[in-house]
Parts: sequence; structure tokens; C-alpha cells
Amino acid sequence: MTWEAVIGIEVHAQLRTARKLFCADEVIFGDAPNTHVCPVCLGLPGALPATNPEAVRLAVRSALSLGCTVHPESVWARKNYFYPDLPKGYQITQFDRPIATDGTVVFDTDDGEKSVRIRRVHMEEDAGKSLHDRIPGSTAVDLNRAGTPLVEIVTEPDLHSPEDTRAFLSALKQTLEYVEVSDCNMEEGSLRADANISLRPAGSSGLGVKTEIKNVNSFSGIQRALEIEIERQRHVLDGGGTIQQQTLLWDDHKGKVRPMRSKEESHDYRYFPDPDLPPLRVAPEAIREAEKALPELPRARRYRLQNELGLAPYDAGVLTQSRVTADYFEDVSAQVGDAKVAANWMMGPVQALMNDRGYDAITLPVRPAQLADLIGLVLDGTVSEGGAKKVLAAIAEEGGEPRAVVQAMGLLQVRDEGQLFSWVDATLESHPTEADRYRGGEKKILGFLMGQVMKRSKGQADPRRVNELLVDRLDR
Amino acid sequence: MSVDPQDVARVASLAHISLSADEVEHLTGELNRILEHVDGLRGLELAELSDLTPQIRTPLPSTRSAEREERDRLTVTLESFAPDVRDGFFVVPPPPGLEQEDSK
Amino acid sequence: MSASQIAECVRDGETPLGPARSALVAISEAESGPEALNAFVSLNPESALTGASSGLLAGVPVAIKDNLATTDLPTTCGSKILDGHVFPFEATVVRRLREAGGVIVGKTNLDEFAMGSSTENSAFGPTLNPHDRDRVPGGSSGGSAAAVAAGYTPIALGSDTGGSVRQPASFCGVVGIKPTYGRVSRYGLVAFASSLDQVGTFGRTVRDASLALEVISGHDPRDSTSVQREVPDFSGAGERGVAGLRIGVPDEYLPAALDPGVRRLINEALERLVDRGAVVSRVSLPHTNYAIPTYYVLAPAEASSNLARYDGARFGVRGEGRDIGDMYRATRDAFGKEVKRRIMLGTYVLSAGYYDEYYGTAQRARGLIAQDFEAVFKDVDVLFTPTAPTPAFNLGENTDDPVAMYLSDVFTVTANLAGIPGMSVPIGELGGLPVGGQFLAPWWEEQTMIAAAGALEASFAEEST
Repeated sequence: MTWEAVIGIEVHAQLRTARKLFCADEVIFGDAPNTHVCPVCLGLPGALPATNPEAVRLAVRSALSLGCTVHPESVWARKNYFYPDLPKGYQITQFDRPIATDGTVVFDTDDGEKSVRIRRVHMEEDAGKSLHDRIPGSTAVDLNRAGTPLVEIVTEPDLHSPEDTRAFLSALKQTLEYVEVSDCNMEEGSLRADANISLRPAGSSGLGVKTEIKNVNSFSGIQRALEIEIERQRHVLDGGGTIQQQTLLWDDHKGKVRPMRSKEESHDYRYFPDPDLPPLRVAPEAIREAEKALPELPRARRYRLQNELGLAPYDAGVLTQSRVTADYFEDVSAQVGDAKVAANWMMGPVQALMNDRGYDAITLPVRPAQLADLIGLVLDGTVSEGGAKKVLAAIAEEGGEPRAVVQAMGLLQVRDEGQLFSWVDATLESHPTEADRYRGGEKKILGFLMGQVMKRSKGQADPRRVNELLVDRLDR
Repeated sequence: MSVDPQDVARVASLAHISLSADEVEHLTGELNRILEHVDGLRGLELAELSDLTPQIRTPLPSTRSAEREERDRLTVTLESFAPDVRDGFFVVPPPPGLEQEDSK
Repeated sequence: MSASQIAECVRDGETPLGPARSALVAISEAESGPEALNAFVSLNPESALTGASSGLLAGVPVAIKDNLATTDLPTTCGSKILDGHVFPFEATVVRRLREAGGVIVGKTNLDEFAMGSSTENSAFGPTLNPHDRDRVPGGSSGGSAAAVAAGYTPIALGSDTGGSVRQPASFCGVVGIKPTYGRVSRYGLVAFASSLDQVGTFGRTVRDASLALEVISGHDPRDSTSVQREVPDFSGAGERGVAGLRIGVPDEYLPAALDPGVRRLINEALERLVDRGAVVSRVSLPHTNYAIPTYYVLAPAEASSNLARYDGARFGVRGEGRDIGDMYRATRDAFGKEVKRRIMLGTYVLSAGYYDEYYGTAQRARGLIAQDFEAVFKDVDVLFTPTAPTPAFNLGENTDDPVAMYLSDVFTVTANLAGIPGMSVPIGELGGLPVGGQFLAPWWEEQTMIAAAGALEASFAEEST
């Protein structure tokens, strides 16, 4: 029997707001415990929630970026359960009437383009953190995170392999980063993903019993966890057994999934509309404005770079990896007037510099204008490519305008024909054997001769012109 | 609709209220009497009302005003009202032998 | 002296803390003797009194129901679980009272977490009715009603979820006002049933109770259910008179089985109003009999969720437990019987499989009740009904029968369900016990009911001069 995997994903992304969802505490990662708390997020009696409009704007933008329909009216609901990091004994979330539904995410895989339907996007508050290992025999609770705004994104079970799942998650993360709604950092916890997985006979359309995998904190982790769970389910089903619906926890250290043994497994959350909050209203014009204000999304941008600017698919992919990089690249490209050259520079010397010095697209201390100028100097022969790389590093270190730095570093290429000829002739005079070998048919020896000319000129000769002149002289 | 002692026990567990066997029985009777009364609602042909708070006749602001981000800073220490605080954390007994997952 | 009179004296130069100090002395003396009413859970020591020499309530001693957050005194909600717990923030209404110059004298007794109609469900013992110490003062704001009736303070704050200000006002012979839902901030009011709760005021006179209401009313950005609407002149509304006022008397509130004494007092009150120019007609609110079942689904449901935070983890009294589940259960064992009963009922009606049947249906029934009022207020300006089916009952009379206790809310819960304002004003006595008449007004028209209540009060006052 061939089994087909059916996978659905639930993602929680923390919204990059200044303040929490229902109170005015700041959202800060990593500070001393319980230093960003107030009566509201502590769940003290008498405190009441008041909705942060910035969180709503970011949620709307998130939903629109995933192609969803945003509903002008949605309802806050209480999800009731007891847990030490859930101060009110309920979470304020959305249940029957979420803020958005019916979106699509298209992404690329080795097997081509695939798409996943987004069933819903809703808003909810995050819980605090329970630390079970900090104090022996007790649980330590930090409520700094309690009340942070989240969007929960739920897909239809449209994924059929762990690889696709990973590709989808990357595309989703990239999209959310592009619209600047979340840091999407799995290690820091601003992006969390749970997967539902079931198997069915290949070609059938029903759904098997699914298990849920939680506690994954990397995309590779999800892929591995899914591979392992698919294998486990396959083994059970092939042996004639049945799958138990259960929640499994991924253990990254051991590389295993294990069941979450919990008496509270079958939670009864007793959802009902939160009577402390009126329905959330977003004006239809505000939704339209937000739609118009969306930046070009990653996939569309990548295709435009390929189709309009003629970049290779791989290059377009790399250069649109993040919006900052893409913005930077297009700025340089427009100023240089040649997308391919700009691309080569970005992916070559600039990338090397970034790797070397640990810069990223945001911290790179070279402005697009500076890079564009430098590239221009190479194109017009003022400086050699090798020289330009040195100039680039210098600008990153100390700033400065490219032309001035080229001069200061003594890297102005010599293009004076007279000077070049004299170096060429002097070199050919000193290396008659090599010259003869060239003339005898050993074209490769040109490289050696080139090197000698460059050495004689202390690297300042325009290598292209030198090449031309050498060949010219040798062919005489 | 009638409630049996098992229902009562399940509900008590959800609400983390501990009841003795006697109390369960007593409460089962009481809840049934109350719910009998409430049964008058059943069989009401009611249209779906979309407005959750029909008594609010004036539209309420949906979000708080962005300018006034007045933070209700706690002017007292956690220790002044919390039963157990150590190193800045609220401290509680551990879960009853469950698998740990850092919350939802 | 009335609150308005005290405030005027203080604004004119009398010591702001003078009246409050006298009040404290009188209270301490009365409450330590055989005439003690147990109206207060806690009292401010004289040294802790603060007040102002300006403001609408300059120097006026005020009593605050012990489910409203104060930072100088604990807020117990009448419960062992919050015994001694001092809140780290103050309720908005308390702040407004203080900013208006009011002096907080103490916190008054209540049914635990405002659940009850007699103040017998307090962990700190019942409060007694000043008119007859074998009887209840009503509930859940019994302590506040008794404090005002006994003359301890001229005004007091209470809360009203199903009648908890109006019914004790009726039982104690004082004025009690519940505003339109959303008129007064609930920030700092310990929630019982969020979509029904409102802070209310007590006074010995219509003017005093209305003055207190005016001071505490108004939008609060911290309470998302409070409405942005200007606060009208409540304190002066009692003098408007009732010429041409159309008063409706709903059939369903004068059932055949109503106590004949209460019926007589209602009719006499209506005659007084007609004498002063009002026009009375009979009206009908056909869905009234759904009110009690609706209330007893919705209120416990919301309460069961609101009370989940009492888990011993971050505040309040913690019970012992080896693991967290044990701790939760041990902590919540400190809830009284009525609170546990309502949490159980509420949890049940919300639980899987029952939601639509109970909670969903109740929400929809509530809409019908609101629609009844909407229809009726097209033809009349205000409604007049008994506040409670009887005068104050004896201590211990209903404690074993929750259903009987619940039925005593029958005339008051509709206003909470619909969100309309209501108030109780004394209309006479039966066997020496006060009886109150209730005015119900359309949404946002507290002034109309205050005018009617003021006219009635004036009519009684004229008679005794």
C-alpha cells in the first residue's frame, strides 16, 4: 500500500508592536522577569483589556499579505483553561469569527510551483513563560511575554511532504518579514509552528486520523519530525494497526517525537465571546488602503527581477531573499543602469565582505549610492576589479566617497597608452622565451605575461587594455 | 436536560473545584433544579442575533486611543501581593507529572 | 446632613476631614456595640483619611463596596480567598470620587463576589438591616445600603449585576441607582458577570445618589465597554418635575400573586405622580418570564470564567498542594457555597455540547428582552414597577433554597439584561419594613427616571411637613 501524507500547519507569529495587545506594557525580549507587567496582563481582579490599534493594523497586513479576505467585523473570544503562565485562566483569542479567512500561499519546490490554502488568520494574546527547571521542585513563571500580540495562521491540509512543508514555511516567513509584521525568529520564539499529519492511501480523498506535532523550533526540525512521524504512522498502518489521535512533542536533542502524556489532553475550552471587548471593527476603506500599501511580495518581486531585469532565477532568488536586500539591490541596479553587473557585485564581492565582517543587509555600512559609484568606476576603467574590492572594504571600515578613496589608496588605474606600451614592451623584452612560446601557439602563456606587466605596473595597469596591447604586440 | 453525578464531577474537575461525594450528590440535585427552571428557554424559536451586547446602543470604540499610552506602572513590588516570589519569578508547585511543553 | 450640604460647607471653608472624622467616630461606636450591623469589612483609621476642600463631593464621607479596588484598604469581595489582599491599583470610580473631594471611610460588606441577594453569603458574616436586625439588608450590596440607611455615610458605592443595588436600596429604605450599561467605568470593579455588572450609587436622597452618579460617570479608555458620551446633569435632574411624563406600568411586574401590600404602595405612588402631572398607562413586556432563566445562564457562565484567575498563583490566599492541580483545588476550596454553585453552573452551561443549548439560546433571549423595552419606550418615557416582590426577608429564610433566592431578583434582572438604567426609591413601609418602587428608563436617559424619583420623593416630603 502506498500512503500519501496529508499535512496542515498552524503558525503563531509574534507581531512587532511596541506594546502588548491589551495593555500598554512594552514588548521586550530578554529583560528581567516580570518587569513589563501591569494589572491587565497579570490578570489581577478588576483589570480590563483595551485593544492596541497597532496590533490590529499589523494583523490586517499579515492577512492581506497571505491573500486573505479581511472581515470588517470579528469577535474576541475567551479560551478557558488553567495554566500558571495564563494569568486570567483564559486566553483572549478569536474563535467563530476570526479577523481573516481564505488566503493562499504559492511557493516553489524542486517539483515546481505549489500552493497552500490559508483557512484563517486570527489575533490572540500570548501566554507568559513557565520554567520548570529553574527552581527544583517548582515552576517559575515570568509574565513579561503575557499579552504580546500574536497572529495565528492555520492552513488547510494541502501539504504532502516534509520538504514541501519546509519550503512552505520558508515562503510564509519570508512574506511576513517582507511586510514587516514580525521578526519571524524561531529561535527567539517570535515564530512557532505546529504540524498536523495523517496518512491516507495514495489517490484517495478522505482524511486519516491525524497526530499533532508541537515544540519544534526550526524548519529543519519540522522536516525531520514529520519524516519520523510519517515513518511511524506508515509502520503502524502497514502492520494493520490504527493511528491514535494524540499530541506529540518534538525533542530536538534526541531527534525523536514522543507522546505528550496529559490528563488534560481532551481540553474543553468553553469558548464564548469575551464580554469585556466589543466586536473588533476595521473600516472597509482601511482594509483597502492597507491592501494598496502592501509592498511587492517576495515571489512577485523575484519574477519581476527575472523577467524585467533579466536576472537568472537563482540570482533573483538570492537577491530577493529579504526585502532589505532586494531594496538595496534595486537601488544599486537603478543607479548603475545594469542589473546583471549589479547582481554580480552584490552576490560576489559584497556578499564576501558581509560574510567576512559579519554584516547583514541591514548593518552593511555601504550605502547603495556608494556601491553604485564604485561599480561605475570599475565600468569606466578608473579602477580595476581587484582594486575596487579593496576600496569596498575600506569604505565599509571608514566610509568615504569611492573616487576619493580610490585616489587615496593609489588605486587609480593607469590607462595612458604610452605608459602601458612601455610596460608591455619592457615585459616582452625581458621575457623573450615566453613571448616566443606564445607566438608558437601556447596561448596560455599570456596569463604569465599579463602577470608580469601587472607586477611591473604595481597592479595599476588597466588589465583589459594591457591584455589587448600584449596580444597586439605579440601578434605582430 | 438533566445532570448526573458524572457530569458534576467532570465540571468540578474543569473548574478545579474539589467536591466530596456528598457535595457532588447535593450539587447534582441543586443544578438539576436550577436547570429545570432554565429549560423554559429551550424550544424558543429565536433568530440569530449578530449583536453580542444588544444593550450597548452606542457603538463602542474598538481599539484604545493611540496617543494615550499611559502605562499603569506597578508602583508596588510583586512581593507585596504575591504568595511566592523568588528572583523576580512567580513560583508555583510543579505540574502533576505531565510532559513539559513551554506554553501555547 | 446630605452629601450636597456637606460639600457646600466644606467648599465654604469647613475642614475637609471634619465630617469624615465624625462619621468614623459614629461608625466605630455603633459597630462595636449591640446595635452593630456588620456593615463594614474594613475601616480607614483616622490617620489614613484623605479628602479635598473643593469638588462636587468635597469632604463627603463615602462607603465603598468591598469589590471595588482601593489602594489604602484591602478589597476582599467578601471572600476568604482575598482576605487582607490590597490591590496595587485603584478603581476608576474610586479615583473620581477622591478627585471630587470625597473621603473614603471604609469598605462595605457584600455577598461573596457579589453573588447573592441578602449579604448572607459573605465570608465575614451577614450584614443586618438597620430597620430590623433579624432581617437581611438585601444583597449583594447590603453593607453599602445599610451604611447609608443607618446614617453612617450619606452616600455609598455598590455594584448591580441583577439588582444588587436596587434591591438592597428597597430593603433598607434608601435610594439606589444602576446606570445604563457603559455609563460608568468597570475598571477596578472585580468582575462577576462582565456584560451585566455596573457600579451603582446609594444615597438617602435622590439628589445625593444622583450627585454621586454624576461624579463617577463618564468614558474610561481602560474599560472597553464604557461609552464615549457626555455626562448630563444628574444631580439637578430630580427637580425637573413630571408634568406630562408618560409612565408605563408593565403587566408582567404586577402579577396576580404579588403581595397586596406592595401592590397598594405601588398604586399609591402612581397616584402621587399623577397628582403632579404624570400620565400612567399599562404596558406589556411579553418576554419577561424568560429573564430569570436567561440571567441564570449568562451570569454564572461569565462568572465561571471571570473567577478562574483565583488560582493562588500570583495574588490572594494560596492553598497547599504538592502539584499545581492540587494547589488550584486547595486554593479554590476557600470559595463559599454560593460561589462554587455558580461556578459549577456556569462551567456546565459553557461546556462542550451544551453551549448552543444554554449559552447561545440565553444570548438570543436577551436580545428579545431588550427589544421589549425598545418597543415599550416608543410609547412611554419611563416604567414604574416594584423593586422586589416583598420587603426584607428574615436572615436564614432563603439560604437553603437557591431557586427561591434567585426568584427574588425577578423585577430587577431585566434592566441588567437589557442594559437600561434603573433606580429604587422608597415608597412606604409594610409592617415597619421599607418598600421600594423601581423606575426603569430608556438607555442613556437616567435623567428621566431621576426626575420621576425626585418628584415622588418631594411628594412624600411635602406630606410630612
